[in-house]
Amino acid sequence: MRVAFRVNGVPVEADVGGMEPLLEILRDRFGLTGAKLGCGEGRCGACSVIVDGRTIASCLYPIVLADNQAVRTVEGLAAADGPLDPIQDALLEHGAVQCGACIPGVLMTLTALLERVAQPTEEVIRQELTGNICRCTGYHAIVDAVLDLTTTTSE
Amino acid sequence: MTGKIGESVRRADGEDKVRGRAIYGMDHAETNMIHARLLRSPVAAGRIVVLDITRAMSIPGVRAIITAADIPCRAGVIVKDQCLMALEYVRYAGEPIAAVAAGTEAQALAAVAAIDLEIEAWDPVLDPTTALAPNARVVHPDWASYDLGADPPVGTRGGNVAWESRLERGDVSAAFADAHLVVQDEFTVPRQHQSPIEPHCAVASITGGRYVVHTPTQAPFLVRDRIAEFLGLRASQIRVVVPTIGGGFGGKVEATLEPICALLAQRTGRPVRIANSRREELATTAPREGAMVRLRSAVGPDGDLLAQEAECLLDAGAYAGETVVIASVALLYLGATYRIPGVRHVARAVYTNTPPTGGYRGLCGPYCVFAMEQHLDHIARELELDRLELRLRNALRAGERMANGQEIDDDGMVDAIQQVRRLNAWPASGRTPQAPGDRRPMRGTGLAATRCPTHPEPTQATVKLNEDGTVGIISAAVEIGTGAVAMGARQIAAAELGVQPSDVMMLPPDTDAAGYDGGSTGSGTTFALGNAVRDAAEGVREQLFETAAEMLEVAAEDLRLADGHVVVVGSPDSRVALADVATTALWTTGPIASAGRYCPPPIVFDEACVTGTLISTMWAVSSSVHLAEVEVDEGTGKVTITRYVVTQDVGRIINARAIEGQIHGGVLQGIGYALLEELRIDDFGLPLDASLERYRLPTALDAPRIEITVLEHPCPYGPYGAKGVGEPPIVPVAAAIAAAVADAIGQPVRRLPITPFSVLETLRSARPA
Amino acid sequence: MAGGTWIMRASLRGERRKAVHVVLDGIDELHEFQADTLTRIGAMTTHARIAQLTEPALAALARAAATSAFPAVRNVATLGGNLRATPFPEADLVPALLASEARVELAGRRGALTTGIEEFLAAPRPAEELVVSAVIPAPARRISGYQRLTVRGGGEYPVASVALSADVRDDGLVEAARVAIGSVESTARLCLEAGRTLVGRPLTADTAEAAGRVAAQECTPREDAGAPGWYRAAVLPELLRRIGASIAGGATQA
Repeated sequence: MRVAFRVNGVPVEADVGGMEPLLEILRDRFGLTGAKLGCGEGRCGACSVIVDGRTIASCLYPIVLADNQAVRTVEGLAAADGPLDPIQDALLEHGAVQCGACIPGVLMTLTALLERVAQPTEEVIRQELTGNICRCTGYHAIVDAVLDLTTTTSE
Repeated sequence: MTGKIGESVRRADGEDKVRGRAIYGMDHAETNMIHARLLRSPVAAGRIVVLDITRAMSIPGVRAIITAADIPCRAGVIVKDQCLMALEYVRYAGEPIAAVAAGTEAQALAAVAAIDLEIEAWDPVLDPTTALAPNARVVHPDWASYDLGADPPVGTRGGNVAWESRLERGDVSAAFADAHLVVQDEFTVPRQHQSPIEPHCAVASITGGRYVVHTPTQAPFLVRDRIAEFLGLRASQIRVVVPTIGGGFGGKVEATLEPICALLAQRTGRPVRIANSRREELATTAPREGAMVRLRSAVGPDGDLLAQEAECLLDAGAYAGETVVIASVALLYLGATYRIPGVRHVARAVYTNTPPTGGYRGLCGPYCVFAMEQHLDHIARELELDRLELRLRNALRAGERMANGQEIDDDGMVDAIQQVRRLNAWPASGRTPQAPGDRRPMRGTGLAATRCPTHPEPTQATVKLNEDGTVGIISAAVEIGTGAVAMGARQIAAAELGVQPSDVMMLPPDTDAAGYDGGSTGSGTTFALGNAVRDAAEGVREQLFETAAEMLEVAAEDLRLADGHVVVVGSPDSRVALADVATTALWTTGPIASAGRYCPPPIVFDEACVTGTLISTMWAVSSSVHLAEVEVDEGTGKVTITRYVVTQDVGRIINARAIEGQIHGGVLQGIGYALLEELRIDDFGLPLDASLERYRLPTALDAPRIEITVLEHPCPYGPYGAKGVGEPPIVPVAAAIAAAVADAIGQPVRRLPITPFSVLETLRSARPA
Repeated sequence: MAGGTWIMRASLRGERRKAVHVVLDGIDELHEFQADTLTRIGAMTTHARIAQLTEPALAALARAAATSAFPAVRNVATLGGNLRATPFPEADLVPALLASEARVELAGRRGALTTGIEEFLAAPRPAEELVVSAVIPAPARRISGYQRLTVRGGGEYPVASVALSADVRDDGLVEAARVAIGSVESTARLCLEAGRTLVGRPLTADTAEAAGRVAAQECTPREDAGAPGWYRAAVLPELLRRIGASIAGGATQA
């Protein structure tokens, strides 16, 4: 079958069986290797992307369900030759990036959150990040980056 | 010339990581690449009766299948007991038996399923105690015939004892005979898995008749050497290149998949990719060993430790691996913190039919300290002494000697313990005030103190001056996420040469380009690389000054470096840009570059007191004290950490935010060890916890805020006085939390993890009927 | 196939994936969502959407949906999937539906059929049967709550979960109550005796906890590697106590 959808605003098409995970199609067909295969259980969050405004685990998302949807990945947060998105910059500024393998997924979860909630509390941020496992940072720098970003921009 | 030392500089690899552009080992791909999967043993022990690849070879897309028959060499860290794949016998569930390379992963999996395998299964030997019983089956009947590598130290091994290390000093028996009090405890801890987000993977290919392996490893030279050992090659026939790593924590040191991958590349003539699934990762890659620690102490009336016997049984799993070295480290941890005149400490790495264990941040430190600290709290309870005062009384001071006879360099330990008081974190009475009201959680406070080693490896770094005045560092030291390379080394080079850290470029680790590096392990990367960079920078400075002296018409001694210039001392306007010096030098003395190196200095210790130790001393010793306050819910047994305090001596702050990152991350891994993580094996030797649903990794909701105090007691031979920072944060965590829980529930904690199940069970059995 | 989060993990359960899957997303009836005194929730409704319900009678269901797993799953996993996935002792929505007296509307070879959740769970369902929607009464005097216990702060299957739904009279006494437990046995179930103990009493932390002790006696917990069976039952009083305390404290969601 052929599926047609948008990735980071760009229309794409693919000939697929239908049950391939969206993650596989993004990585292998479209060269978008930001999202990672960390567990294949949907549990680690390294594969998190945004579909139709909502965070999903792309390793568990059959490509057929992506038909006609708007998919957003970490590569779409900033133009390839443009400045970083504020949330990307905030993570770097706060030392929230160590090995970085969880970061693309974390960025998409946070992006989806901040599009819904302008000034999330710490509790809400942590709840939202429950599906993103980070083994390096202990999460605090990530949380502080979001709090700092959302408090500054309101002033 | 301290420039950027102490600043929280941004990491060089950060932008690629947040843009999703960084190519990790798991992302690396090559033209015409094919895929490998492994046939792994479904049983924990037995003899291979049938292994027939005929059917599998005819699966479409299959290009090669290899088994142990193709490469029967044995290798290993110290004890050369391991074949690339199971040869005749299987010794753990998940052990590789065959490897298939095929056009696609699906084809490889289909071929794996088509390999005819029959194993005469035996009852597995599942734990060290069983393995040491008189009639236990010997996991390695040919143990005596195994090589031990070059210059093996004398150690005891035999039967299921893969290695034994001992430390003995003083008159232990007399001390026990005269003791005011004898206290005895036994502790048991499970395996903990490193669980980096990126599983183990590798791509191997043949280029110019040599093997080229791209692998997210912490130790490219170790991988090179292990491939050479298994394949019977000279090391220089292999080149290892390291892409970005998605986490290691000590788990990406030994070469588990690379040799298989390399052999398949040689057989097929194509680049071959292999990658573990998360299930394979949890089920087969080497976790922190499960262990049992028995402690027995002779104690004086005021709480002085007079003598101590310790027995540590480390579960090495099916192959000795790194665990034989870790047994030595147990003796170091047990003897580093407190004054114990009489010591009889034994650590044994024991073979079992379980996946081989290995290094994970802190090695055996987390459970040695858990055992020692619970034991001390036990002593405090018996003598009705304040637990903090007991630490202060027994802690070794500067100038005193550890159990191994090495001297304590500083009083960071006293400083760290007293910091707990300065923060008003220790309850004055030693008892935690309980919450008011009838229905309230039980509250407790606990602390843990320990010294931790830095373990730097030999390393080489070349520093070159680029013609535009920027600096390049060529080194095979690996950035595993800590920032030691992406920030620390650049800051040190910047400070040494008077440039901005952003003007210091690092080459990706490549065993062809750089000299030997022993691996990014042991909290030693900033330490070793920093020292090597300083060594190289000295050479670069000399060359710079040689040329600049002529350009500025002064003597070389009158020059210094600042702001990207060579400047005349005392005349800030007399200066020349580094770029100009570099280009001038090209046609006078030649391009400016210098090779630096580092190897750790010998530490004086009492050699007579140790037997069979593979590591006998600690370098750049730091002190850490952690304090935890907990609440225990009586209805569910759940433990909530309400306050967590860390005081850690780092020697000298190179990058404050990076240090904070290590403390945040290490403490949370320690919380996982204390409360959540347990890699279990069932009665058949099969993994119980081979998924992230089962193996509970801490989430953002499991991370209490941490109050951090960083102390600076400089190490005289560390770069700018810095000590290793990465491992100490995990080492005392389980000890501190266990101490707090024991304080809250009024019962000692002798096992990890402290699950709600174990707590509720303890509370119920303590309740009057 | 609804959201696919169960089906896509087939290999992890040692199951072969089926040869053909039919995407249900295009069937409008399955997307119905009507919050009323008789609330109809289509099978394709996600946990995230269900979490937005505000009626006190539906608080248990809303909370079960809101606290299940983590956002990436809640955004995709559906009510239909939660009901049809098997074996799935830990399903969050099921005990909440049980306690809420929900009925399932089904479509099969023999046409439409409506049945109670208990009957739905009692035996394996025909493979070709579709869950169309769940219909949940939300009468004025009904209050409800849900608690799930995890080892971590969240993001995992519950070790045990409890849903409580009660009809309260003007004098504050319970007229009827239903206690359902999840993840304790191999399927979620009602604890009828536990519900009965609440009748004629006010709903407080203490009365709820007492009901929990009855529920713990009523059930036969399963043994598996995730948690010991005795523990799953042992925490039921505390979980119910929390629901009672929250409701008595005036919270709309417990």
